[in-house]
This record gives sequence, structure tokens and C-alpha cells, in this order.
Amino acid sequence: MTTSRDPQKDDRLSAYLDEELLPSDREQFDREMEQDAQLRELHGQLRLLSDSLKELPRESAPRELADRIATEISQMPVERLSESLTSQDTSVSTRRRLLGAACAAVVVVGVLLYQLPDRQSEIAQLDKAEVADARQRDAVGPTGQDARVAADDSVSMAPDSEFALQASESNQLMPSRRPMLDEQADFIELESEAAEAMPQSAPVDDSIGLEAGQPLAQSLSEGPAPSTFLSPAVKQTRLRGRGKSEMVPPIYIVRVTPRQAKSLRTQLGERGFEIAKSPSQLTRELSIAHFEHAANIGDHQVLQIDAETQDVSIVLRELGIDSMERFQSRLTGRRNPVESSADDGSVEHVRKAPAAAKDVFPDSADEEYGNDSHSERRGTLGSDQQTPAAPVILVLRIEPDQDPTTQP
Amino acid sequence: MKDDAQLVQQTLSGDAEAFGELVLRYQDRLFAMLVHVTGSHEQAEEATQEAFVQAFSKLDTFAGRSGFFTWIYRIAYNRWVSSHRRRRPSLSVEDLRDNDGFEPSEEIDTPWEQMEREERVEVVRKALHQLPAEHRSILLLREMENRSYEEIAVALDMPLGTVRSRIHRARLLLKQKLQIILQEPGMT
Repeated sequence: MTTSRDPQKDDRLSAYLDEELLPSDREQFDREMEQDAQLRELHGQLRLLSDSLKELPRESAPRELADRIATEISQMPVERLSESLTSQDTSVSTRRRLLGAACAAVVVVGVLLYQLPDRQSEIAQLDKAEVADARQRDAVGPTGQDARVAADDSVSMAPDSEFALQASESNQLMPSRRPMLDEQADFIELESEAAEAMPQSAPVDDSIGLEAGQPLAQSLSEGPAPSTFLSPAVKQTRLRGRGKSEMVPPIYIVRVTPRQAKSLRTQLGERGFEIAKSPSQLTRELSIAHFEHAANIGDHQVLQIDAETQDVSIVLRELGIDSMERFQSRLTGRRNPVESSADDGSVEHVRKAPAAAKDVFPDSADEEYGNDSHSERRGTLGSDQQTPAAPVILVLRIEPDQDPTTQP
Repeated sequence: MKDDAQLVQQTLSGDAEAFGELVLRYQDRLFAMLVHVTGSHEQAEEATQEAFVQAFSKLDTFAGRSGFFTWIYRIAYNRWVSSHRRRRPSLSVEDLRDNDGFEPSEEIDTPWEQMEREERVEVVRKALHQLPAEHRSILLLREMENRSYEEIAVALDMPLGTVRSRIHRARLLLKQKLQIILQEPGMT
């Protein structure tokens, strides 16, 4: 027996397949299928089809997409703001600040994706508090310009304020104001400088990342070997905005245990590398290094590795919102300081965006900066490198040690 | 973790960082859907970006009747269809079939069992991209996003009955496309 309805036209079949029929209708349709071979066959085919569609790959959005969204939002005309946003405060500056905050948020969260979520807010708050605290202290320094920094957030900070901060910072690492968060650190970012094998424009693949990261990873004597690089471990991202393409350093990510991280810090310390002692210090170091070295790459360099000598320099940091806002500002190009001068002349100028990777960490940069104090810092940054190449960012994600033998 | 409504409200209240969380929460899902809807990574990127930007500027119009993803998918899809139609108006002709009796070609036996998963996925993807956008979109919402008919009706702004008939029609059309592809030399 067959039903009078053409199964091809009977949309109950799909509704049955999708369990969208009422129970009574479903029972009725079950009975019809029992009696209709053609309907049963079509049902089987559509079910297979449905299963196949569910198998379609789910591709992730490109890493830089959030950045581009942030960029576009930041460039959005004020008139396009939603009424609700504008109703909060109708001043143009405030609305732009809101946009800027949104812009920053995208990147902040994006970069923090690898962090343990419940730790981030705590660290960020600590960082913010300490940075604000430090800024207030710095505001009484010789230039006094940091008062502007302290009085303003990074979104609306003027470029000269940034450089004032740079100028007023001590080039020595600040003494610890609270214990090093060895075990608490969720996230350490390390930047390596792989030699000529890493031209800025060359495609990056996992093997390059392993070459850059393995010597360090293998040098970790304690604990299990670092886990495999996350896939995709290596990202070479481009920031595209306003029709221009800007390179962001490729990012390598590797999981390590707290013991491995501690071992890494110890080894680096034994080799004479400076390691920051507190989140605020890390954040501040990041900012300084950022402005010193990264006029155009928007990076947050922490570690440089000379691929030939394995000389390593480190400024360790934990992420802080403050610095990430600066990072985002750099990415979006809303503040693209070039040829800016500090009022007290301590920083005569900041170079224009380096045209080549070798310009990022030039040995001769001190002359260009016209500030001897930079050479002290640069001395910790592999000053014997002859041909520095494109920077990359190594991210060590510190995860709980799963090895039961390492449990107390 | 804050729910979407909270994040939307926070954004509207001036805490624009909340919008960043929404972007990161949904950009992958939206992009994955749009890759299949548009058949192009580049167009999917563009559509995803435009959708979030428009969502930000129009966030006050989000009434919360549907989920945030449903809402932004609708934005993305409508924008893409609109721009796509301007470029290739012929693709919307399939709309005319909605109320017509669709007659797929004669059935053939499909060698599903002989196909490896990857091959099957590739063939399905190829067939899917031959569907009109309206059918692709509704099938993807159903199959990839596992959306109910009611949710799809909201997302695509169409009556429930139309959702049901269009899903069925899309499946039959996809089956037909598959059969054609599988009949091509080298595909059996």
C-alpha cells in the first residue's frame, strides 16, 4: 500500500527527519512509512544527506578577523553609532572613546584566548592597579609628563604622552613590589628573533616554529617534555585596514607545565637575562620595549633568540589590559607616532616604522634614539647579533602539571 | 560566563569591551556558516566583518527575541544576499520555485556506502554550492547549526510553513545535485 501523496512533495518527510512533527503526526507518518517503500527509501537517502551535511568542516575565522572588525569599528563615523550608545553620553569624544574601548576589547580578549579565563580578570585588575600606581609615582619624575598618562587611559592617550612614559621609565627593571607569580602565571609571551630563516615576508610553517622554539623547549630539564605545539601553532597574521597591509609577528604557542616554566626562567636567569618581577613591571617593560622597538609591528616582544648563537634575551611579562590597549592602539593605527618629541628632549625622536625587519632591533639604534640609556637595555637584548631578522612571538601557556609524580 | 543578553546590555550601557566578547564568541561559528553559504573564504570573511560592524552600530535594535547568533547570522546573510544579487541577479531565480512543484530527476542508486568520508564531504560541499543561496542557508542553519524550524523562521524572517517546505525542497534539490555529480566520470 502506498500513500496518495507524492513523497517528493511531502515536506512532512523533512519535518519527520528533523523531529519537527507533532507526536500525533509523527505516529501517523510512521505508519505511512511502514506501508510505503518509496517513502522509506527517500527517508533513508535524506537522512544520509543530512548526516553528510553535519560532517561539513567548520572552519575557524582567521585570527586577524577580530582585529579587522575592531579597526573598522574604530573608524566608524560617529553618526553610525547606535542611539543607545550615544544616549549614554552625547559628546563626540566620549563616543569615540567607547569605540576605542570596543576596539581594544576585541584584541584584548583575542590575545587572551589562551589564558585561563578565571585568572585573567584578576591579573588584569592587579596590573591595572599597579600600573596606575606606578604612573602616579612616575608623575613626580623629572618630566612630569606621566601625569598625563596617569590621568588618561591608553585609548585617548596622546602620542607624546606615550613617549613621555618611555622617557621617564627607568631602564633597569623595577624592584619587585609583590612576589613573582611563578605558579600563578597563566601566560608568558616570549618573542624570539630567529635569524635569516625568518624573513618577514616569507611563509611561516610549523617547522620554522619548532626550529625557533625547540632549543629552548628541549633545554628544559625538569618535568615532561612540552606538549606538541598547538595546532595551528604558527600563525602569520596580517592586519589589513584602510587598504594597507601590516605584518604582525607570527605567533608560536607551546604548552608547558609550571615546573618547565620555572626551569625556563631559572635557566634564562642564569644566562644573565633579566626577568621582570611583577605584573606591573612586566606591563611597563612591555610598553617600553614596544615603543622602543616596534614602531610598526604592533608586537609585544618579550624574548629574543638569536638562531645561531641561541643567545636569549628576555623581558617577561604577564598580560595586562593597559598594555594591550596600547597594543591595540598600535594595531589600529589610531596612534601611529612618528617623529614625536618628548618635551624634555630625553627622547629626541622615535623612528618611523622600520621598513625592514633588521631595522627593528638595530645595533646602531641607540645612535638613532640619541639616548644612551637605551643601550643599557639593549645590552640585554642580544647586542652581538649581526643580522637580526623578523621577530616572532613565542607564547608559553602554563598549564597544570598532569604528571602525578610531580604532585606534592 | 556572561550570556549574550548581558553582553549586549553591557555594550549598550557603554561597556564596549563586552562587544569584543560577542565577536570572539561567535566569529568562528558565523564564519564557518558563511564559508558554506558564500562558497568563498574571502566573501565569508568580508560578510562576517560587515555583519559584526553593522551589529555594533545597530545593537540597540536587537530585541532579544532570537539569540544573538541568529540575529547576526541574519544580518550577515541578508547583507551577503543583497550584495550578491546586485552582482549576480540570476541566482535569485530559484526563489520562484518556492511555490512550484519541484520535480527532481529520476532517482538513481547512490553509492554512499562506497564513499570515504572525505570524499563524501567534498561531494556534498560541491553539491551544496550549486544550490541557490536561500537553500544553502536554510540547510546549513538546520544541519550545521542544528536550529529548530522556529529559530530558522526567526533568523530568515519567514513563516514556519515556508521553512518546512523550503528545507524539504533544499534537501531534494541537493540530492538531485549530488546525483548529477556522482554520475560524472570518475565519481563512481
